[in-house]
Amino acid sequence: MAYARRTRPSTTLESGDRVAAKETKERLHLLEDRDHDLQLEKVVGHVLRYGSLVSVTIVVVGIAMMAWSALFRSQGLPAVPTAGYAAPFRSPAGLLADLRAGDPSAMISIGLMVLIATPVIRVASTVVYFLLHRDKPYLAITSFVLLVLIAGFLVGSEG
Amino acid sequence: MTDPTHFLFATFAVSVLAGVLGSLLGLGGGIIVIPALTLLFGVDIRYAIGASIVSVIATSSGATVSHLKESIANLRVGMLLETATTTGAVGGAMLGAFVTGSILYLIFAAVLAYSAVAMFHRRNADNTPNLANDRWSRRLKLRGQFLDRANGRVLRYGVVGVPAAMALMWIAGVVSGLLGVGSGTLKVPAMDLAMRLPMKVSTATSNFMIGVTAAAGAAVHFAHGDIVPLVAAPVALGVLVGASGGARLLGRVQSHSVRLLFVLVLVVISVQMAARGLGLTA
Repeated sequence: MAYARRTRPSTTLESGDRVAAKETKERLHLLEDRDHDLQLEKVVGHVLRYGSLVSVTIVVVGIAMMAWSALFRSQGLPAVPTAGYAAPFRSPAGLLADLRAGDPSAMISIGLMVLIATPVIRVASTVVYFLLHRDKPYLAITSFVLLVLIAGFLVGSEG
Repeated sequence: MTDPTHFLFATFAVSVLAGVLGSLLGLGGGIIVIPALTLLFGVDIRYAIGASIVSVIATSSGATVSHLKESIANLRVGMLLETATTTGAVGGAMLGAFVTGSILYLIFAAVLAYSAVAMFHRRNADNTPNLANDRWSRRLKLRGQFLDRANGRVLRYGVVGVPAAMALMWIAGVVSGLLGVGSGTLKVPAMDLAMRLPMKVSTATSNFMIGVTAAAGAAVHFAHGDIVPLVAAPVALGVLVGASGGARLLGRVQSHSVRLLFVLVLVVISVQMAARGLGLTA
C-alpha cells in the first residue's frame, strides 16, 4: 500500500502551471503508446506461452515413452552421446515414419522442433499484428526479420 | 560410460540453474550447459552445442513470458535490433568456413573484457536513467517505462545511439554465427553502452531477442543431427522451468546487483575465451 502511494503521483497527469503544456502532451502520448504496446505484449506472450507448453507436453510424453520401454520392454535408454558418437541424419519424412513406429526419440524431436519454431511463429505473429494496426515502419522491420529467418532455414536445410 | 538415467536427472538439474542465470542476465545459458555436458558427462562438443541452442531458445521463450507480465522487455527495441542480429547470424554462419577460430576467440575475449570494465563504470547510472531520445528513437517510438519492483518506482527512459547499437548488434550476430557463443554476452553490453537503457531493460530485451537469433541457425544443427533427443530433452525442460522462475526474480532484484553479476560473468567468459584462443583448452 505504501508503494501505491509513492508511485501514484508520477503516473497520473498533473494539472496546473507547474507542468508545461508540452510535457503533458508528451505524457499523454506516452500513455497512448503504452496501451498500444500492452496489446502487442499480450499477443507475443500468448504465442510464446502456448508454444512452450505444447513443446514441453510433447517432450514429456516422449520421455515417458522412453521410460516405459526401458522399464517394461527392457529396451534400455539410448546411450549418452560421448566423443565419437555419430548421430543419425533425420529427414522430416523419416521422423514421421519413426514416430508412427512408436520411437520415443522421434516424439521428443517433434517437441524440440516445436520449441525451435516458436520464436519464428512469434515473429510471424508480430508481422500480422503490425499489418492489422497499419504500422508501416514496424511492418517492414518484422517482415524483414521473418524473411531472413526463412532464408536461414532454407540455406540450413540444404547445407 | 555414463548411466543414462543418472545423466537425465543431472542434466535437468544443471539446466534449471542455467535457466535461472540466463533469464536474469539475458544470456542463453550456453556458458553453463556446454561446460557441464562436456566436462561432467563427456558429451561430444557437437551435441553439447546442439543442446545449447535448444537452451537459448528455451531461455528466451520461458523468460519473455514472465518479463512481459511486468513489461520490462522493450519489444520495439528488440524487434528493431533483430534485423541486425539475424542478418549477422546468417552471414556469420556462411563466413564460418573461411575464418579460423583462434584469433576470433582472442578478439572476442578482448571485447568482453572491455565491456566488463565499461559496464562496471556505469554502475551508478541505474539511479538516473537517460531520458533523451535520438532521431531514430522518436521516429520508431522506442522510449519506454516499467515499474521497478525492487524499489517500487516507475522508471521512464529514453533511447539514444540507435545506429551504433545496430552496428554492434550486427557484429554480435556475426560472432554468434561464427563461434556459436555470445548470444547475450555482446547484446547486453551493446544496449547498455550504446543505447544507455536501464540494466533490467537490457537483459530482458536481450532475452526476448536471443530466441530468434538462435532459431536462425537451429535448422542447420537440426538437419545435421546435432540436437540429440536424450541430451536436448532434459536441457529444454530444465531451462524452461529455471527461466520462468529466474525471470520473476529479475523484477525484485536490485538493478546494480544484476549489473555486478553480469560483469562477473563477462570476466569469467572472457578468461574462458582467451584460454581457448591461446589453445590452452578445447
